[in-house]
Amino acid sequence: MPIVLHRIDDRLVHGQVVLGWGAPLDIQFIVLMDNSIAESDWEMDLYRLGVPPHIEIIFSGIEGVAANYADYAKDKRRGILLTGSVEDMLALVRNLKSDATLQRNDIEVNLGGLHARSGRSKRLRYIYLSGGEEVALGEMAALGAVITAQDVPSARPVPLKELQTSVPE
Amino acid sequence: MKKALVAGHADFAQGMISAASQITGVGSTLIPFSNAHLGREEIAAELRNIIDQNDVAVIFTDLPSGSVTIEARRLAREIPGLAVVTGLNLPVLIDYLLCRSNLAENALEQSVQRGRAALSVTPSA
Repeated sequence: MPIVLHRIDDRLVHGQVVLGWGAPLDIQFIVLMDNSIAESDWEMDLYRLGVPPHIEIIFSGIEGVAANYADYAKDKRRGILLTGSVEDMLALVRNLKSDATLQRNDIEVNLGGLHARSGRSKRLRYIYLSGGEEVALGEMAALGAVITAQDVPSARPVPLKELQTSVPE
Repeated sequence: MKKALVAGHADFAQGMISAASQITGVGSTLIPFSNAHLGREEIAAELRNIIDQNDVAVIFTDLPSGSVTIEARRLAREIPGLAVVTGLNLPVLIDYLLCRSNLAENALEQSVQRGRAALSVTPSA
């Protein structure tokens, strides 16, 4: 089980991911799933600078991650799969669910950070969701994904059902 | 006068500026920035807004892998002359404040070297 965390975080590579989760989980590679970053040498260089030497960062679009997921599963190292959007994670979960060879019906999805933006409402200090994102998370759960919000390992994992109600700012 | 942005997690910037100002008395050229409650795009927009409104020469950040650092480096690629220093500690900031009149090309490097030299363990191994 080399991908030990499937995380949605709109900050992508940052301290909580690389250090907060990376150290206790002994992470040695990060798959950054983002179509636009994977097409830009400039952006990839930028994110490489943010990762310590002992962690490899792999850049890929959604289709590439789906195609290579079985290879990640064979990797002896432990990794984090990271994306900035609910929609991209849903696309991956759909793909993995439909791939009989992978038999990944049990993916645990970590909501690590989706911040305030027009059209979103507050669910937790670090989680804001739009109506469309709620629907997408519901579909992910219906596909078998276990979804919890947890910014850092020491925090309580908050189940999806507790995120369905907006809270005051 | 050129200004410096101190940016990082939670109250890191406010704390560093408070301490450096108390020690040097010349912290008024430092601008604090926290990434608290901000996504990547919002961090980038707010950093750019501060830089557009101030004559910022350098951005000091806390973590090399921090979200602010990545966005600061993105800006440094776009804005000629803007430098980014990561892993800020108080000795670096104090040296920078006290030596700002030093126009040497490697002045920032010198401040970073002094910050590194300030790290020690007692008792030593």
